[in-house]
Amino acid sequence: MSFSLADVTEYFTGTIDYKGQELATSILYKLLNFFALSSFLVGFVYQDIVYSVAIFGTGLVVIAVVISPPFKFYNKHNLKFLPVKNQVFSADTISDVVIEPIQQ
Amino acid sequence: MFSITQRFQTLSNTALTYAIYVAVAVVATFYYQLYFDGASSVPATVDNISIKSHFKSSRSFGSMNKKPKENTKLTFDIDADLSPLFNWNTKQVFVYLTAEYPGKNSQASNKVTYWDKIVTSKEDANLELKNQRSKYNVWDVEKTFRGREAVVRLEWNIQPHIGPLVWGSTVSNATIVYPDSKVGGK
Amino acid sequence: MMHPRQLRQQIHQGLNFGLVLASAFMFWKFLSVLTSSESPVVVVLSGSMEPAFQRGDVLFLYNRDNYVDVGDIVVYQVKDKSIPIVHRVMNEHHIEYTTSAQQQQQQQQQAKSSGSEYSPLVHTSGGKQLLLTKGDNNPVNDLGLYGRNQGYLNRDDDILGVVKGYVPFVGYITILITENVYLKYAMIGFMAISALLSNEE
Repeated sequence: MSFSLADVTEYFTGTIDYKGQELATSILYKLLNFFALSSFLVGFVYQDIVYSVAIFGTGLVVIAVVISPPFKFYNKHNLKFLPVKNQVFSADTISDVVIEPIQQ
Repeated sequence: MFSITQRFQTLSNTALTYAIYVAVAVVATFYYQLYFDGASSVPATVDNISIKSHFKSSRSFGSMNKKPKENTKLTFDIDADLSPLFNWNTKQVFVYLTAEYPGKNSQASNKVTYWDKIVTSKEDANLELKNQRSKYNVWDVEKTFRGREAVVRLEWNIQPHIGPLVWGSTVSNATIVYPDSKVGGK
Repeated sequence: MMHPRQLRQQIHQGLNFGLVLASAFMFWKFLSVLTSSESPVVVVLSGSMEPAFQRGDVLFLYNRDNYVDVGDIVVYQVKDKSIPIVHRVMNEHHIEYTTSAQQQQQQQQQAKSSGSEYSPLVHTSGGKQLLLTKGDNNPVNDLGLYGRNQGYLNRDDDILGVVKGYVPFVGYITILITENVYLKYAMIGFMAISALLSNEE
């Protein structure tokens, strides 16, 4: 098994595809709305601020666990890249091109 | 949102914003509950006040350069129910007994604290004290209290779990008159 | 020599970072002006005001009141002593120099004769307030903390501000960072590693 820096970087980055990002964002907001609202309401009804802090705190942990790791269900719609056809000159490689003076 | 750190950062920022929203809501209900529980006019009875005065000459009793300074102590009864001050955002109530009296002319005024107590829960909020002694020796900027008249109030300060601190005074009518002691007397 | 595009990106990142720092500094100074206090937000370091304030709590100060009331919690710094202290005001004695009607008339005539403007709306020309403080959790008042011959604090000279608002716990990070050397190095190490492993442009 070869460990290149790129592999390690990719592992720690935990990329997910675009549909997955949308899913993660919507989960984040839905859960946060739920936990924030219930932390306020439960605390208010029971007149104890400890409930509010506890609910909000556990909510944060739950959301972090659900959206941070690159779970499989975030990677269902992988991008399909086109196959490589011909070499194309790009601005990046222009410095690599050697310009020879025209022989008089 | 493509990387773990990005998702974590978005979570932190949004969560912080939401936490601020919740905190603002908590403070709003805090004020609302205080208003509707009548916190601004909590009744209290302070009576049976007696004053003792002695002259002291050490720095810890307010004396400068060993000159004698009149120190006073009080004994009093308090009957006050501070439970309207307690709601879910109340961390503690600091209740204190003050005496306010005039200074040398109409532009000068003085206010001193004789006794205080920290109340941490609604259950302990009903104060019924008899013959309570003041906690502190109290001295004035001047050498003596000169027989002045003082208005005695029971005031409170709510320390919230989050948000602004609130101060107020109970509705109590009490006045005392200091003895007119001369330096070196008694 | 770095590729021009990379160099530009690095400079761009650096400038962004500088912008964030400058904005934070601007906001801090704005708060200072608004509250008229040198240090509008402070973190509680000692336990002398427990159970109200714990170490790591954040306090918001306000310094525009001319006179402080008994029961207010103030932050003060005695001259020649470096640590600001957060304690409660126990006693206060103040004199307010107001101009009487007679003095106002005199001032008006003086202003007319010298040809300058006189504003009759100004009624107080200053005052002085002496304070005695004590920490809730201390058995005795703060006399021992004042200067050698100082019997009271002066509201104008020694008070940095009055505590008006409170947020619990969030300041504990600053205490940990300043007091715990391991945490400082651990944080720097963590940032270095994450910069190495990151995949961001």
